Amino acid sequence: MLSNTSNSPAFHSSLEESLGELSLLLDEQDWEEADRLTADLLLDAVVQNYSGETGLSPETEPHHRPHLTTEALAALPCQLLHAIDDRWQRASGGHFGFSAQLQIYAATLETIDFDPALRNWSTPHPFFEEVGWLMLFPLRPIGFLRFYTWLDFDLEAPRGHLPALWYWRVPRIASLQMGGLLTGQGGAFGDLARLDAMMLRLSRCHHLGGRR
Amino acid sequence: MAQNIACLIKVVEPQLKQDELDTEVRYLIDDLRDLDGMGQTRFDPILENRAAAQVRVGTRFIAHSDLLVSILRRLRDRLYYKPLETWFLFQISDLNLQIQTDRADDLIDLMATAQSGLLFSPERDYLAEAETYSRTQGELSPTELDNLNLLRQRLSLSAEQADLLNARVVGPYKTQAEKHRHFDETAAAEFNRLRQMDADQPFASKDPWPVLQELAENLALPIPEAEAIYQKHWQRYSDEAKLKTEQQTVKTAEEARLATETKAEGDRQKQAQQAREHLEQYLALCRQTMASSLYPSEFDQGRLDQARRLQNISINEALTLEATVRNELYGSIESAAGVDYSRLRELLHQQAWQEADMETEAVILKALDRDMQPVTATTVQRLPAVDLATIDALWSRYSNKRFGFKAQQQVHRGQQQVQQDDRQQWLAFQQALGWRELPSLFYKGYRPYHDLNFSIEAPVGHLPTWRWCCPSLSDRYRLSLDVMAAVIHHLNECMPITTAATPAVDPAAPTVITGGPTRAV
Repeated sequence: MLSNTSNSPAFHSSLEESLGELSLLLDEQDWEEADRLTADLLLDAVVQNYSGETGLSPETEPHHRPHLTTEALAALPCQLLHAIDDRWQRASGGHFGFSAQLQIYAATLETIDFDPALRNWSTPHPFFEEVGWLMLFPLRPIGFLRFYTWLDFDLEAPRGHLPALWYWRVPRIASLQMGGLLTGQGGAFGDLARLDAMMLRLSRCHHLGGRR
Repeated sequence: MAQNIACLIKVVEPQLKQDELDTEVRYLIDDLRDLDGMGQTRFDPILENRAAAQVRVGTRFIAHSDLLVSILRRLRDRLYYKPLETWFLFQISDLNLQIQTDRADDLIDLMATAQSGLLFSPERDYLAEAETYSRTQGELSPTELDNLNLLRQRLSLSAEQADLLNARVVGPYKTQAEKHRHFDETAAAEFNRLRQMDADQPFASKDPWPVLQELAENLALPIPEAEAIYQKHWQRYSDEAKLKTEQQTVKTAEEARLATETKAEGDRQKQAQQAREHLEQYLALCRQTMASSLYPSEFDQGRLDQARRLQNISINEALTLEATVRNELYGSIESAAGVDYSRLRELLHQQAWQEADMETEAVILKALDRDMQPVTATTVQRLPAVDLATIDALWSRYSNKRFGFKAQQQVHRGQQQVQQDDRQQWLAFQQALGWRELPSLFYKGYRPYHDLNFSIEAPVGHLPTWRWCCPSLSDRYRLSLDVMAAVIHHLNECMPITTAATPAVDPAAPTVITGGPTRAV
């Protein structure tokens, strides 16, 4: 009734088209453009979910533009996540993609000395450091994310560095809440709930046994 | 009664020559003529042509019947002295007595008969006639009786004598009808005897016709009639025999069929029994090998494999049996949504509480079958009662009733009884379960999921968490009010708890969880 966005033929065909485009961009190693398209695809799915679930069109949303809230992330179609991840992995040899990020995230959860309740500007989530999303400071990392344009769009970047825009692109008001500069393009403290929602979503989708 | 007898005597001794023969005949005639009253008798010679000459070989004469005894005696005496093969013929009315002998004794018998007077009795003649009549029809018709009456008068027999003779001729059964009936009855009796014989000794009976024929003759019943009666009985008898044989054949066939069926049924039952025994043995071995561990060790698996092959149980059957035993020993894992709860059971069996909690989320989201999206207030109603009951039973079983949905329902019921305000009630509920701490101005009391207590010392109902309702967990384990209300409502629908149940936790003093320090966000 609701989540199955792929039931709509129009959406399905445009999705196929977009995934084909994503494959092309990834094959050309145009990482930045591929990351943008990935975030767009996820947002499109959220729009589909909204219209399918609540009957509301994105226009009636207060911000005029849906974004990937924790709830939206938790309801992303597994099939789409698998499809996108599959293309990233293949193009980067497993270096980029949601799977790589989930692996790193799961590994950081095993880190005993990390207590999410204790996080503050000086003790960022180890995941951010692992994937190289933190603003680099001379002595030690602090919990302050890079601006999006400062990310490394090549295979020299740390593992799990990309895709990243799904996390960066937030409403300006949210960016401000996160200690950012109203850019909506990073340069702020990370929102752990959104990160965890995405990772939880990925791990839940893994129970379905990959692509269906 | 006087009667004349024509006598013929012929010497047939082959050793006599012609002249000797002639001499013997002459002596014979002389001897006979010597007898009293025979002097006037005329003896005619009997001539035979022998070797071209006529030879006298014997004599023919008429004698009075009274003289027969003396004639016979004389002839006897002659044979005593000279035993010559001689042929005698005495014609007494229509009776011919004929004898050829060289022995005197043979003639003595004849003398005895002659002396009895029977040979010459009128009764004998009468009897002969009456018998002839009776034999033709089996009874004496009026015409025949009239004829006999005339004969009686001619033979000068008394009426009484004639009646006696008539009675003798027709026998004990006067009329043909009586004879008929008697023969019929006898034949029936005879055939009854045959039937009895058949019963004892089948197919050995003989055709009774010869004796019955004799009876018919003795009864002076005409043979064709007797045969008709016999045929009637025989037909009935043979029909019966045939029917009996047919019935016997059918019965035998039926018995044989029954015997075969009984045997086949017996075999089947025996096989089924054997199969049951094998299954029982296999089940016993399953119980034994699974008594200490949920899944048999490699060694025990080998034993099971061996037993399975030995007892001729198919792999699928064996797996089903093992599953049955496992369910029996470690709790059933029924599912209406086709979800496999064996991993959850295994984790709970190992007391791996945190993994079990994660697995619980996985199985619930699978049972919901909504693309693994978190459970919402509306979708929670789609969780099958069977699956919820299975999950609850497993948690409850391995935590000694400390954990599980029912424990949570009990806690909720307890809070409901003391807290009036809805918001307060849910807060108290979460606090009682150890899911939330007392909120303050800057701290809402939510705890990160990883700070929850994944041990058996956790508060009653602490596990399983409802993380399957949460979009994210890491920064805080937080449930919205409407989701909580919907979940509890659905649980109460699926697994009604008894009202008499005592609240598991004292509502006045919610359990304070040891663990993560409280900090304002």
